[in-house]
Amino acid sequence: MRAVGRSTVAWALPLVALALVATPAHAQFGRLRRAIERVQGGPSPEIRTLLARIDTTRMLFDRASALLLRSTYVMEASVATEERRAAIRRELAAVDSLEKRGGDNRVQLDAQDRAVMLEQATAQRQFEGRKLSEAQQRNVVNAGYNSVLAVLMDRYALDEAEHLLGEAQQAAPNLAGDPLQLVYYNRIRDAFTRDLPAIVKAVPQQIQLASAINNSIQQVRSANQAVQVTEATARTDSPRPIDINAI
Amino acid sequence: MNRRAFGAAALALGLVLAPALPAQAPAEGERVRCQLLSFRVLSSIKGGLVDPQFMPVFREDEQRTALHQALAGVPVLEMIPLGTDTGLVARSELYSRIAARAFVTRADVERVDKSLTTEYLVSTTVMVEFLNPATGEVYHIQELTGSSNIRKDAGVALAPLETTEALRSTLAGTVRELVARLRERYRPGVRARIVQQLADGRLALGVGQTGGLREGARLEIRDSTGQVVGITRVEQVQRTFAVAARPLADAPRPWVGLTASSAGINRSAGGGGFAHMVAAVEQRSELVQQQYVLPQATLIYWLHESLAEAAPGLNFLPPVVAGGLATEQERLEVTTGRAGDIAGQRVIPDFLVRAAVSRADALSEVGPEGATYYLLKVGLDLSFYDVRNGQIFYATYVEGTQQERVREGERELSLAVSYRNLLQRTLAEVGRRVAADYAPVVSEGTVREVRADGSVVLDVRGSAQLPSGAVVTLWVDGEEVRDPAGGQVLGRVEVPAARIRIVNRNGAVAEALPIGAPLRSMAGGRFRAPATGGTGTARRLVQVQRVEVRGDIQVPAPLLGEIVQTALASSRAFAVLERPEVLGELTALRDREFGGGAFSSQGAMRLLSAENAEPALLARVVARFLPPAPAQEEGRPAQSYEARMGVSLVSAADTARQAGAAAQSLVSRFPLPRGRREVVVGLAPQDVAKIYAQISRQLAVTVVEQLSTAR
Repeated sequence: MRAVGRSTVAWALPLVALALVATPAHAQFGRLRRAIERVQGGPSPEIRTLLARIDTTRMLFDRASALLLRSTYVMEASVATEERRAAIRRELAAVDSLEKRGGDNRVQLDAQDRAVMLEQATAQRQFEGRKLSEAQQRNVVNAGYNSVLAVLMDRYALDEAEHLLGEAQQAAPNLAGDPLQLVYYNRIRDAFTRDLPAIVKAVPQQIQLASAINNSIQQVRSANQAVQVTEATARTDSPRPIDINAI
Repeated sequence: MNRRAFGAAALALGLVLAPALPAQAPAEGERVRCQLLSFRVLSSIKGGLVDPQFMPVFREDEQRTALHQALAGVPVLEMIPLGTDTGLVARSELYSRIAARAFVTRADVERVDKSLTTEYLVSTTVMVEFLNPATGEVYHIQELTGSSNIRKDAGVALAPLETTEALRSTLAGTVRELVARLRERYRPGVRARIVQQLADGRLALGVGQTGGLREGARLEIRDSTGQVVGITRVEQVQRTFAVAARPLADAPRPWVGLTASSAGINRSAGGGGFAHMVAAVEQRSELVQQQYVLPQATLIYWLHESLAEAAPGLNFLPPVVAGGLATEQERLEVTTGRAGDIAGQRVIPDFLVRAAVSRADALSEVGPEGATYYLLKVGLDLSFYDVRNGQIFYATYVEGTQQERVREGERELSLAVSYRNLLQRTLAEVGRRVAADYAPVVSEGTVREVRADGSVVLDVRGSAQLPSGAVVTLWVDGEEVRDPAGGQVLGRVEVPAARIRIVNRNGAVAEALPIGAPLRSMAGGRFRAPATGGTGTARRLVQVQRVEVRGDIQVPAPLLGEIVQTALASSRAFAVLERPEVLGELTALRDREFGGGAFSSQGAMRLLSAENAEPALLARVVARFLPPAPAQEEGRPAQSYEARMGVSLVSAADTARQAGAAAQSLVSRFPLPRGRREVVVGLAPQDVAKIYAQISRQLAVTVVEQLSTAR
């Protein structure tokens, strides 16, 4: 119960933020409502709540991934030159094709690669001094907001996923023997064997990506300033008249 | 930092889009026959800066043919076919014949690691020299550095074939653009009719094309068949005619009616206004790292080209070293029988340009991601001074910086090529600054009264500044010159009456004292001299006589003197005379380059107006630079530098009489590098001296301000 109560409170922040900024809120609430309605008829309230929390966790994680991906695109566009962007696309395409063969770890590899590439591009960008267009400047501001939001959602999803893993493993055996509950058993089994571990594994990478985005934003905000690696700038006092004989 | 945006990008674009200028149909007689003698790579032992990779690119016969074709498109040149036997040239043809030789003086590739790409800056420098092959007299030089940029993915090296192709195409583009500029800058050939032989044997030359004539110009006198019958040298140029020296000839003969001409003298540089010439570019050995020392001739050509390109109105004559390369290379002698008589003589400029590379160094540090950053710096002191009296008319200091990055473990960096590019960009900046700031004017006046004590009162016209101590020549009317065709009076030959030194000026009236005994009566005399613009209190001519650096830290005294001199010249209170050692060099230079040969006596007479000015005040500089001390700057560890500088002025006439003094102390604190950046190159004594040199520039300005307000 403690977990349910805490999660209810903790839902508020990301959901409100979602409604305000990131995506069409009605669509999310719709999905949530439909998901809840689907399970209302069948399983027990505990299982229904468990499934709803799993769905919400997965949905928030997906949304955070989408926000981060879009922020990454914005930052890549702001940080990298055309050639570098093309190179990043090519490299990511190669990763994508690899992951499609590999299956479930696609999300985390993607985030990891994007974080690494964004970090590289960011580290290099401070010496490039490229000016951004006004549209890019606006996008950078939006990307900053979205990445902060994504981190909040990710942290929530991680926290929930860690708890849900244990709860789902406990609940699963109770459902396993009931053929009417088979569909719910399968969903819970998928959750604790595939989705929730993937989320637990991927969120740190996504947080790293968000951190890379934020570092990148800091760089971009100071991008139009002079190159930092220069001789130290001296602080000079006003000249002071002295007696020439004292020299 | 768009450090290569200037020059490289613009020039690369220029190379690609080199515009085809509309051909100008020259008037008959304006074309000059030109023989391209050679197009070679200047070898390294003669100052060439050529990458070995360039050698396979350059096939002399092909390149010479290409350059020949390009020059054939210049309207004022009639290129003699390359295969022509030039050994037997009809004498009648010689009057309109010059030679050209060209060199590739630089060809290299600079690798630039940018954040996301690696770029290769491929540069070639080509110089074409137009000369009289018999005498070595250089009429015009045109030089250009062309660059092209190759962009690769980060860290990707340039393939050998790509390098070769890039060098080849850059060279072709450089030649094309060079010739396009040549069309605008070089108009060869001056010709003047001899209208009268003066009583002293000298010749008066009619106006004709005297627009291109300048003092010192060597002219050949030919008879109606084109045979050279005499050689002369222009001594003075007046409004409607010019006066040339008594001609050198095998036999006396009537000269009036013949034509004196030079096939190659540049009419463009002979136009109105003052003429200039780059005399020297020193490299201060104490503050220039050894690997950055370049041949002086190379620096002189680069500075010449930067100034000539940026300020065409300043009429830059071929620099003093011009022809220096020719003497080193194979020389084609076309016999005229007069070669030895005029060797070493040049058209005389009004102003000489002297520059010094006051710093050239690189600091390196390791950046946040393990890459090594190199910060290159180059600083140039520059002064323009009057060739006749040594007065400085303009002085400035220009500094350029460039950053290089090498990714961790990626390559060994050679900064030599980067330094060349940085230096050329800094020289271009010098050109721009000179074009914007430097504007000598003419000061004119007449003698109002010659007093019984020999002193002279002058009426001075205009708002030009003629400082106390300046030396000018008084001219009076001499023999009348008439046009033999119509008998009309062209004017009177001006003859020097005396050299006078301005001792005092108050508004439009100045007092002066003659130097030595006047040659003629000074009554009715007039003068015309270069001056700086501006009104207000008359400036006093000051010379930095002595520089003393006390203590252990030694900023080179000549550099400190130059720093104070630049500050004085930039102030509105003083006019500045070059330092005694430079004036000594100037005297030798005048004798060696502008006098000499068979015309020495006349040249000396003409250059009697060349007498160094004398300062009204002497400046004595004393400085002390304290050892750097640890300090704190906004909570960070810093290094504190204290510089003390004093300047005292004494009367040149009575050095015991002080005319003013100022002294100041300046403290600068430099934060130490943050922990994550390791300074690879530590602070050697030279580095401390460099920092103090920079502080001194700031301090000198405020000390001079204090001096001028205390006057």
